[in-house]
Amino acid sequence: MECLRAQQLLSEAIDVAISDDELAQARAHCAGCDECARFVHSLERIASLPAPTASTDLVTRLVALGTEEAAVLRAIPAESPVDDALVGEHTAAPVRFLPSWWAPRLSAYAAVAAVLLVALVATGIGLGGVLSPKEATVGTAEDTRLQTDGGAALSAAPTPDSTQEATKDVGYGTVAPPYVVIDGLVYTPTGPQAVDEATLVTATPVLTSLGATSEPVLLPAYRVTTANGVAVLRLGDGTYLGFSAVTRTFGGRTFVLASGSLLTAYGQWPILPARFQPPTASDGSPTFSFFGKDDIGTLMYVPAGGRPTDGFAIAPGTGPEDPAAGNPNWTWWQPL
Amino acid sequence: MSANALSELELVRAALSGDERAFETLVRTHADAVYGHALRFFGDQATAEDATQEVFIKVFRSLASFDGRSAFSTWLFRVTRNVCLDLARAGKHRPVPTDLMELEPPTVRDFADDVVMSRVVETAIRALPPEERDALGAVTLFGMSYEQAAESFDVPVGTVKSRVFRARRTLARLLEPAEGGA
Repeated sequence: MECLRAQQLLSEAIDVAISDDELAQARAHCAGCDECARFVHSLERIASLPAPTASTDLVTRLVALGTEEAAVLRAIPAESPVDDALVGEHTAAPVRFLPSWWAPRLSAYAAVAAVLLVALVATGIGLGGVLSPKEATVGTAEDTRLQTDGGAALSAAPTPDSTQEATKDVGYGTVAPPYVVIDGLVYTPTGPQAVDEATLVTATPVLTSLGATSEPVLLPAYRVTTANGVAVLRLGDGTYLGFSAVTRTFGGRTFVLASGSLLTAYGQWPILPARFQPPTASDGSPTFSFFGKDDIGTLMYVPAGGRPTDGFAIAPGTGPEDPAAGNPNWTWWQPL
Repeated sequence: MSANALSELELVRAALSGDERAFETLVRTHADAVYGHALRFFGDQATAEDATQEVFIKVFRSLASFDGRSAFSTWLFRVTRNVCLDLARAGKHRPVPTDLMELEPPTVRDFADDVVMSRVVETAIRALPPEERDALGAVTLFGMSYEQAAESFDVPVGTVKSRVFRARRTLARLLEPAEGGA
């Protein structure tokens, strides 16, 4: 037997069963060949060494991730097509990306926003009348001078310069940061953004002043499919203003701030979505009960029977580093 | 479908129904292989841990796409390889370069020391051509058969055998103990 063949067989024997006869021939060859003997010596030594192992800490984290995922899956209604996915072709859509409650909720947000916008346009009633007192923290006379003609407002959309000017006026102590609400989720501006229009998905148009005191206008909104939690508004001059979702993390997973109200000017605080009655006690009751802490130690609350992986509430009075810092209202955070 | 594949499918089914223990079993069974591949790819423990976490997040989110027609390890290997490549392409993590020329043959004493040899071997594996390193990892870390690896790489079985052999031969030559070493 040639050296190369003998070495190939002995290498292969580590992984699969080869015939006794071939193995015996290879070993016999190596017994009389110094080069192959050295090869076998090294080969066996290398094969005897342990492979890299994941640290206990890493495994613990991975198990925790699995526990979180299991909780998410348990929360999905039984009609989820698990069996079909297993027995059929490989499915492209992961289970968790499209939980069953998401689609109707998105539709509901869009419907609510549309109804509110139509009502505003038709009646000329300002948002000051429908927002809670705590939301209008930058209430000025100009806040109520809302644009009633959506088309005219769009053509008079503000530019990024006016946005930056307004942003400077808004502090984080008594007034809210610059927020807009896109499809029910709260975003904060990141500045002018170049976009590839092929990556945009149309969202519900946003009524915002892009400032604390100027008049709200209706702006086309888009989600950027290539970046999670990123959206853009198209301004009157055709350029885009970028926004990133306001988020926090729990168990390594990202949750985004939802808003139960349209935030039509910077400086307004998000409130709980309408389906939640604001708690009357600091412990969250009767709407929520304490669950635990998120990744930065902020206390989390969940509805009765709820799981934190489906979303959770945060009480007012969080620390200065918290993404809800300064908000006098309870807030709701849902999976991104 | 093999008995092993059936049990994997059952495990995945259990996980998809929200069974925490099934997730834990998947993690404990496969974490070392995923981490080992990531470590050999990136050459850095912290980055390998990040990548391993990314892999399992992706695996958990797309468990429903595993249909049991191939072994779970084959599917997992594909995900692991793609995640590592994607992380590198996105510039989030960059593999630490390794040069075979930097490797010195172990002394006789080193050759007998598991800790030293493991470190030297891992360094040497990182310096192998990627296709050889991947083939070796698919077979030795993920326990794939040559046929499964061939399917994964979309190459003939003989090519996988050759790659694995070349990898081992390179390692064996590199790691022969130096004559007269202490």
